[in-house]
Amino acid sequence: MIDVLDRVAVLGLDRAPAGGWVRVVELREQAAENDCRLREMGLYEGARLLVQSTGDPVVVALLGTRLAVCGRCAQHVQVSLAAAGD
Amino acid sequence: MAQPKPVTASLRVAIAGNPNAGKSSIFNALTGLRQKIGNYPGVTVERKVGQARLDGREVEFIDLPGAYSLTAQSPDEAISRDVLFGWFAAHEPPPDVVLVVVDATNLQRNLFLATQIIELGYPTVVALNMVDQASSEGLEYDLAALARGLGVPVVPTVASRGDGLDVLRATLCEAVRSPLAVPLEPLVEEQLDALASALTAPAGLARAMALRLLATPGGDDLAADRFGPALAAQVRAARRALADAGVPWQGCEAAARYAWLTDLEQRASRARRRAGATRSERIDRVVTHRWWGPLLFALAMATVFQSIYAWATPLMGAIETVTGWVGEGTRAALPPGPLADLLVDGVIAGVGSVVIFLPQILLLFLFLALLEDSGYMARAAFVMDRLMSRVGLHGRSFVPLLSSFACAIPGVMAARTIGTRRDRLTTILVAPLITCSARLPVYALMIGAFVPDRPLLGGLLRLQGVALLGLYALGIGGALAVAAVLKRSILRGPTPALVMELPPYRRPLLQHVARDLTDRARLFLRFAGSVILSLSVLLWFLAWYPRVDVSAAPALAQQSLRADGRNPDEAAALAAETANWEGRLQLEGSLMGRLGRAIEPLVAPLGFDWRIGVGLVGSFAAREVMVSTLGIIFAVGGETSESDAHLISRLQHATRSDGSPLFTPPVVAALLVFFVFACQCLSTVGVVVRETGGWKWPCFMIAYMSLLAYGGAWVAARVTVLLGG
Repeated sequence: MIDVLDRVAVLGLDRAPAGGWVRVVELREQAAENDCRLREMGLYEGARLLVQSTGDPVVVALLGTRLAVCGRCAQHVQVSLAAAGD
Repeated sequence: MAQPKPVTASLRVAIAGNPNAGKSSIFNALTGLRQKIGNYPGVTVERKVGQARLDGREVEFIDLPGAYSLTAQSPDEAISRDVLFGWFAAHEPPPDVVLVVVDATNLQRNLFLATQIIELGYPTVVALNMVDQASSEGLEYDLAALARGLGVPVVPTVASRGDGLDVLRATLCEAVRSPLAVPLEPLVEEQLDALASALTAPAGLARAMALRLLATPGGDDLAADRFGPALAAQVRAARRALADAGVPWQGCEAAARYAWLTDLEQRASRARRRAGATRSERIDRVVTHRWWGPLLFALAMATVFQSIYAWATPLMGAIETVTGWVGEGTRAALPPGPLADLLVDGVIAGVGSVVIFLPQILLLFLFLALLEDSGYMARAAFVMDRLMSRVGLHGRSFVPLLSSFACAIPGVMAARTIGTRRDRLTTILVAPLITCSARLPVYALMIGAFVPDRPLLGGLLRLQGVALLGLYALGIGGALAVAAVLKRSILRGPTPALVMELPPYRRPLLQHVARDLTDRARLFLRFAGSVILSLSVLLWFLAWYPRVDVSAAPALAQQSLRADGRNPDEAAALAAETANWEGRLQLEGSLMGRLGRAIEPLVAPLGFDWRIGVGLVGSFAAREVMVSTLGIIFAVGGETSESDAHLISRLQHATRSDGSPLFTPPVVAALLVFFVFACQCLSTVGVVVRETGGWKWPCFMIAYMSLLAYGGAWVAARVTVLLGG
């Protein structure tokens, strides 16, 4: 049951709702081409971000800056929804 | 804090930092140089060196390309890494001091690189730049706490205003080494210790190198290149050991470093960023909107090209008038003969016909400077990403292409920001298809002469501006089409993913824009006064010699006879016609005429006569030479009358030997399309040789662009005929 809930709660960054806070859970292997750069720019496991706009590219706000991440890359960034003050 | 390092008589200071942190502004302020500044990643793609005296010592400043991390993922970032690791060149020692420029509005992300650099163990100073903007966003920092945490001096600056630079200069002479080493997982530290012990470098530098080899994709290959296969094997073994213990090597640094930085920021923060959307975020809701974004981009481009025509006309008229006065005055002041003709038909007609386009070129650069400094360039890349991904590139490739609107050379160099070699090569090979400012005089001349200045959409647009926009669009379309073909054939590879920072919008600084325009004007005038002048003299010589005995021509003799007994008006008209015949015969018999006749069969299928052919030959040295060549040909060629005082009207009235118009719509269309696609810039070829490391790709580029230009011109001429032109 917990496993099922976890699966439901984790989604690709490309599917995260605009205006919502999310936390990075995992960078999937398919993101390997960019995973080092994603982590260095702040999209590391455990990082909290605000999804500013969805679509392709996705725009997220984090660490006082904003990143554009193309849809192909965003779908491999697994996130969970987080509360604003989480 | 550690003890200050005694400063040597001559210091080498490397300036490093994230893109857009203000490195080049600080470099310019410290050295008095005029390095280009912009509000988008990739403005500085090679290291720039400048000198200054600090505290009585000679100091060499090295402005490094912006980097997000020492994990270099593109050639420009590799330059920064190599200079800081002392790998840049065998004869170049590592820097004595490092100045890390940190954007105060984006502290944590900037400190990611800053802490990596501090850990190298060089005496370091941190310039906390743009503190004014941080303050306006509500951010306040305890600088002493920040300096304590980092172990190096932290100096607040506003480089654009010069604030804090005196303190920065003084602090650079007291730079200190920091013992900082952000703690990573024990297992990672264990592997780092083992790797570092195999490197012959000071402790901090060895650990930093070991971390880069361990955590960088391709780090094992880098280890093999730099230190040999044994260390590469050790790196791979360390990665395996970490993976077996459930610690992925790819993620071993970022989370730990950001956790440490979060803690530091909390200790050093006096006030947090105000809640709510920033001005940039509000603007981006429209500018990067799925539908509004592309529309605004198209509107911005249309405005640029409309304005180039609408606003430049009065200034161009003024330059044209002055050129005319200078020509007439020179002709009147000198006795008739070769010297007067050289100065008037060669120098003044040649150089003047190019200088006249200075206002349009400056307007183009004004708009580009505003787009760059405001931060819109990154948005243009964002908006274009979806389109770019369809041709196998990502939006980042669009920034070098946009830079190519000014000149292909910075565009080709800006491709260093692209990590994958295939994508970088593709971008380099298509960048020269983007319409650069050197094409503008040719487009402006031909459009001004042959496209009516007719209003469109109720006066909102004008036909000449739309024609210019169309030529720019053709260049972009050609570049994208060629990129698509390359990425599906010889440079086949996966479409790269876009991960790009959107820098905040900033109000362009008037002095930066003014300085940029002054530099551009100076460069253009220097080019006109050197290259164009030299080629104009050469072309005049080719057009003037050998002298042809025109009086022996039967047609002229008959005309002269017919002139006897006519009224004064008819006699004057006949005299002018005779002069035209004389000029044409001289031109056809000259060295230029012979050269033109020799190449005429090659250009005849496009509808060009030998005079256009000669212009094309000259334009392969530099595109603007086409304009000066036409200026000289139609001045020496004598196709002139009271109404033909200027080049545009001379072209409009130019005829072939059978009396039919030379510049018909198909010829004009073919000529313009030829210029859109042809590779006519030796400097660009030189830069492509350097950037691709040989002649293979430049030769390929010249070949495909020449085929495209010739084929495109042939098709354009046929289509224009079919359309009734």
